[in-house]
Amino acid sequence: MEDSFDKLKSIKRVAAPDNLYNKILSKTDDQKVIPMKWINIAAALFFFLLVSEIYLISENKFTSREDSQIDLVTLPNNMLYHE
Amino acid sequence: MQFKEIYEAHKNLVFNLALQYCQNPQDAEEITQDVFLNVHQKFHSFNNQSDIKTWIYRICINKSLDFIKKKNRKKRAFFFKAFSIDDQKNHLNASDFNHPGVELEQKEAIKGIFKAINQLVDRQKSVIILLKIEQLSVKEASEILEISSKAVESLFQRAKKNLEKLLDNTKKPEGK
Repeated sequence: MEDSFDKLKSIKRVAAPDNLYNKILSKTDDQKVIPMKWINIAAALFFFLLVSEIYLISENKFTSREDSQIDLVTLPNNMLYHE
Repeated sequence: MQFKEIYEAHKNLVFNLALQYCQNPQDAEEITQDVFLNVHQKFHSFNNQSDIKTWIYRICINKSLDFIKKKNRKKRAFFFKAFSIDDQKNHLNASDFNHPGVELEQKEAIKGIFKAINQLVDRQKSVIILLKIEQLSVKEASEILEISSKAVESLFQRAKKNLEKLLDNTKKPEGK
């Protein structure tokens, strides 16, 4: 086993490629990281909209469709002219 | 400390450590890029500048292990699709071995050792790489892996035992 470890010790150090820094820099430019603050604000807004939607739906659930239709349709009064 | 300074001071450390995990320069380059992207994103919020080396070691180990897992997953998916077989554990393939730090006359022997190291669990693999290839002390390894020195030592003993078994298994067919 020690012989295997000695072989591992013989592995030489290698220099990193020269163009690596430029590659990393171009990648950092490509990466447009959205700050966590904005993600949190967006999430809070979405949650607020969702809650308000639920609230509005639950508020309106007792008004039936017929009621709203009655409001829209004018009822005939069956009165003749010049009567 | 500027990012460029950090890069210049640690580029070879990261590249070589990544090489010990993936054993080929293309993958090591990709891992090095990932590591420094991570460093670039977080070094402003990193307070303890004295431990920057340990911090970079830690990022590099995690990135290397993630890279290998992703690569193995891709390979496994390909094998399933192409042949509909389960290729056992499909650890990092020995055919990928192209370590530029290994001398030609030692290449086959070291390739065999790495094949066995690649079959160890992540923690045991890391301990072998840190102690026996990077030649760090037990204390340094314990700081990087965030475990006690005793835990590093016992992890190393277990890794050594498993490695011995794996190397014996690979030698057996040749002995017949």
